[in-house]
Amino acid sequence: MSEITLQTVVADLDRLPALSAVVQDLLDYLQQPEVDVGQVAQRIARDPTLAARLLRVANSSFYGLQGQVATIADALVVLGLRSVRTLVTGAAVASHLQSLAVAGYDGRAFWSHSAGTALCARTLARQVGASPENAFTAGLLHDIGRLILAARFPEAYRRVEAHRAQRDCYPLEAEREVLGFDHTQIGAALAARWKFPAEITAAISWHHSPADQPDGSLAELIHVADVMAHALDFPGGEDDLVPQLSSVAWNRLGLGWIEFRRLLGEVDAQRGDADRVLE
Amino acid sequence: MSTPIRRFPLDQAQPGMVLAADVMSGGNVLLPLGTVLSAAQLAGLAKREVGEIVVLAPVERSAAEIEALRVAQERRVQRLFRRAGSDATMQALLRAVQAYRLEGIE
Repeated sequence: MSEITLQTVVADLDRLPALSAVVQDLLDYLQQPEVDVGQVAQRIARDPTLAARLLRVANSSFYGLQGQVATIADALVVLGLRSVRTLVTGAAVASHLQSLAVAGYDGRAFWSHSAGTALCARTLARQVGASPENAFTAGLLHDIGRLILAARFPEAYRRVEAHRAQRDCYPLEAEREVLGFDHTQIGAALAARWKFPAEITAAISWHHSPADQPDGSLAELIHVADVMAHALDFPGGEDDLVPQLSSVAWNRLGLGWIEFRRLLGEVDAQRGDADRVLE
Repeated sequence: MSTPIRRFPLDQAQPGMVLAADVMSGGNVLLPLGTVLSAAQLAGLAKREVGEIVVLAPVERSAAEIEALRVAQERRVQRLFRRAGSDATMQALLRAVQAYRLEGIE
């Protein structure tokens, strides 16, 4: 049995297949202070998978325009040019890492929870006046460190999983007890290496300890979205647990419980979108 | 359990009803059996002067069925919250999730 450290896992990130040149170029372009809609649309169109994903997001029931958004340029108008950078990051990274098939690991459950958290985050964001698109992307990628661990260090991951099953504890506790580090640190390292927008990186890093972030951070919203997704059975399964909800994050978000129940219903009504997020 | 089938005049049909037979027009299938009707589709059928459609009747649950669903939902929520402990925020969350799931049954 070989021990691994956070340094081992982080050093290994360089061996992951890189994002495509088209996506890299697009993300670089979107970082410029002035961007041209036509240029962005043209760059997106060079990657048909990415283009299809963005159109799917723009046509989701959330925006109330199902089936009406036919072109990339229209999608950019619906989604807003400023949010495109985060959406491209999410769509590109998700489709890129979906190819990391892992023997003995339930990738479907992982992505079901990721998509569910993205839907919850988007719904919460609209309620509290945050950017729905940033929230959606952060939700989609919040647990990405766990996928990296399972894909690249399957033996270590199996030990974590066995520990979790034996103690019936939270996956986060099992990671810390077995490895001495957890998926948020791996995710944050990947986000930094692949130059995710800073807000997304912080949300990945702090979604289990949102009280350590300033009031109004995306981390507190993703923390609540994560809890909400588990409560709605994303991914479901006999062993699933609703994570400990931080009272600090909850109070900062400023929602009431009656409101929260209504939002559970809103996400439930979008369940069909969860499958489309990732197909 | 077989689900009852009912004929519905189109103007009384509601979005969300499920077609129990193809909707035909002059030998063409306008909408296939199993379609969950949307408001737009109902409007489309009205435009094509479809008079009535055959849908699955809404399921009416017996008291015993409702009770069984209620127990199943409560068990599921307890299972998901089995590590919640006595923390006040977690208990409030549990009650909200429980209430949400139960309101969907009746």
